[in-house]
Amino acid sequence: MDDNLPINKKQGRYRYFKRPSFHAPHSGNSVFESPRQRQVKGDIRLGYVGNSKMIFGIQKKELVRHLLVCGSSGSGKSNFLRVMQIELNRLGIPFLVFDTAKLGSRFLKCHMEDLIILRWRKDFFFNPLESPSGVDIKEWIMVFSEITREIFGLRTASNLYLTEFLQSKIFCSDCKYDSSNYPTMHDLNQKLDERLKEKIPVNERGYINAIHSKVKAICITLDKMVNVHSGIPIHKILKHPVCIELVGIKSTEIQYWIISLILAAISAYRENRPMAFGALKHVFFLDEAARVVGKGDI
Amino acid sequence: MSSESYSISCIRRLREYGEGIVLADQCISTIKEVVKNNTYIIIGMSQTGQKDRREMTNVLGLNADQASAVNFLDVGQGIIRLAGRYPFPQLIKFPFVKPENLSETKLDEINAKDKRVLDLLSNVNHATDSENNIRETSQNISEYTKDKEPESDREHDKSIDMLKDIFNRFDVSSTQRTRDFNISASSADKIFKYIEREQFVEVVKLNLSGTRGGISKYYDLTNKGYEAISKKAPKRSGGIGSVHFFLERYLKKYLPPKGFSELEIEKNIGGKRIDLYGKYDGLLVGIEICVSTVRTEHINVHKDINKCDILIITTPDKKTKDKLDSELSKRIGDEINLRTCVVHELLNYPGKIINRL
Repeated sequence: MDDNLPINKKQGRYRYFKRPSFHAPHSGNSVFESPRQRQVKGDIRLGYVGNSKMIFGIQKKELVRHLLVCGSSGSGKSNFLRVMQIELNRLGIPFLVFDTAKLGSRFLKCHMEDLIILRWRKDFFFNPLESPSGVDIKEWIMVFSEITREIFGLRTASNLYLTEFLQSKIFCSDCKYDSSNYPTMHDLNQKLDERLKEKIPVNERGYINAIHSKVKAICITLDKMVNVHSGIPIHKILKHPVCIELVGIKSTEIQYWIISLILAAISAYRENRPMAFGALKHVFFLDEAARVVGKGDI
Repeated sequence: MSSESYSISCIRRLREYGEGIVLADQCISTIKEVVKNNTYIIIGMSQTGQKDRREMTNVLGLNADQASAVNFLDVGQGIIRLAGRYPFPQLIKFPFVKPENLSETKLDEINAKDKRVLDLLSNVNHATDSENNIRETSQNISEYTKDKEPESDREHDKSIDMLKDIFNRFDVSSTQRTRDFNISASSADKIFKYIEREQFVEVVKLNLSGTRGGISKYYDLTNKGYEAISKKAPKRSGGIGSVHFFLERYLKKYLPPKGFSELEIEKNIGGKRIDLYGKYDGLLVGIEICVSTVRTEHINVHKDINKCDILIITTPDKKTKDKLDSELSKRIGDEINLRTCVVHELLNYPGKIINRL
């Protein structure tokens, strides 16, 4: 027998590790506080406190200050998000969720008939160059360039060039575009292509190459989804519980570029509306959040 | 001065406009400090990384006892902490929401009828193809894939016939089955892979002919497989695997032409069950099938040897037989009424084995 093995006289050769009970209600040695019902009462019911039947809920106004959930793969994170979505639907609060890697929210359709599922290949159309309702186009161009820079890691100079290019070549006064007929990503790609064929300075060629490679990748990957003059209006999406399925887009950069743009569009649209003063109007679900709000070491 | 990303500044501003954000991620340590510090509700679920656990302890403000709880959180359990109202970390068990499948075709139908979806799509202004013709190849690809029925739905329909055939003819190898169905090897392979992947069947690989390289693939239906064809699964005596179950039925079917009679599966004699029990040339023969329980097979031998004239222990392959022989020689020694053999030997030359001394 190997002498190094831990030996427990009662149990024989191996010492078995006993799993501690965190919240045995009758043991009296719970490591967590025992709250009173009124302390944890809330509109959005999340689950049960420990092993008891007491329901832990959060108030709607608390969710306006945001929620963060972290857990390793298989810990029940997706299930928790589904619980949240069902609860929000019960309270009539619209939400927007994205499925990026696996079909998660689609399977909720049986629990909530109201859920609208939009698939990027079939039902979801989005023009990133279209400013949300009530937002000035110049302001939106800056947002578009900034997010493209952040997600694709463009240099500041390329970002400035993109902003200038959009203002002078795409949204110029000679162009025939108006508020119902925005230029598409394919138009931008075409204009960049044309510009590359012209005789231009070397540094400008460098900027265009950096931008063009990303824009072309977007056009090739998303194809018809972004080949629209006007897409589904953001303010209409905000009225319903919606799941946008981006499963199948193999580039996570492009997926999070779309998500970031939609988040920015919501932000820009809301900023042109009256303040809510704490009332919860809509909830935005962001899975794999580190890609958007992470430290950048992913 | 470090710059803040545009998305973070959006999240910061959206609070005032009634927009709640639910952020989810696998590792708490990868989220920026500013986000963690400004989030009202933080929920930590099971974390495996050392760094993440430490971070979770800090963010949730756990004491030493509570911190140890982070290591043992079950699936569906989490620790929640609100920034105000009830600022103590609390263990919560979340209810399970059972997801139900929704196929692509079904979703097509639902969306086509949904007035809200139609309303959303009514605002879409598509660019005409002539305006943008840069992606001809991609459009061609979609022509090939458009409106195609989902692969899994079609495979499921086809697999039902195959499962019914397995139910009716358990003893037919996959190669023979492909020939009988008159389908190509590749399409048969797709069906077999599908039923294996969906766990309708368990694979049994055996050499029953005894020829070199004669391993064939057979299938044994699982409970899910029986359900798929709306049949009742047969009762199996405790803990027997698919190979064992398959061999019992196979031997019962193919030994009678070789001279065996009155063969019974799992015959109970004096409280002990013998896998197969029958007569051969006037002798009472018990057959035990040993798939993996080589070390404990001697217990069976002690119990069975007096209940029959000849006890045969048969194994699926030569390697197992050699292991069994060495184990039995250590534990039992020479026993005149005991025979060991590989299953194809028993099927091909039962006389030789029974009369071997």
